[in-house]
Amino acid sequence: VDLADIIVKDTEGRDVRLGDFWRDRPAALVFVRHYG
Amino acid sequence: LRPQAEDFVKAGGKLVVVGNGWPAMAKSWAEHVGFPPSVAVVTDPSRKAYDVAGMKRSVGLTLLNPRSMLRWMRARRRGFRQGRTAGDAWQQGGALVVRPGGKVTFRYVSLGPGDHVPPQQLVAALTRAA
Repeated sequence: VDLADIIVKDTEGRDVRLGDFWRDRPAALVFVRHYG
Repeated sequence: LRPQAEDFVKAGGKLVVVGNGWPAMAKSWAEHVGFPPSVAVVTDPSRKAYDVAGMKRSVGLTLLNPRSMLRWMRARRRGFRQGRTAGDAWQQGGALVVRPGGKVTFRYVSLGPGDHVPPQQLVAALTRAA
């Protein structure tokens, strides 16, 4: 599985393809343990 | 991360914060933290992205880790209190920098609570990737 193809959700519940974030510029992804 | 949020834009990149609860949890948390609009907050309830990115998930790393206990005690002494946990309590975090085309140029895998990449280090990695 390619990380770019993984679909996540934005805060409104809409699908977002992760790879779209680094399509035309680098992206720093911070994976948080949990909220709070 | 919030105080450094604009530094990621200045570095020529995008800061994406990935959580693992439901979108409503992500929204409430993002509003509480007060991230600027330049930061994308997304959530991965299946934790598939965590898995593919190489992040760890472990009860042992979370609870039985002496370094985590030390960090917890230090944070508590400084007055930090963790609120209710929303999301997967055993999931560990970390960070990646990914360039256009998908090459990962920086990876930090957290080995327990309180083990975070310093934001300046992440900004520097993003600057190098831009």
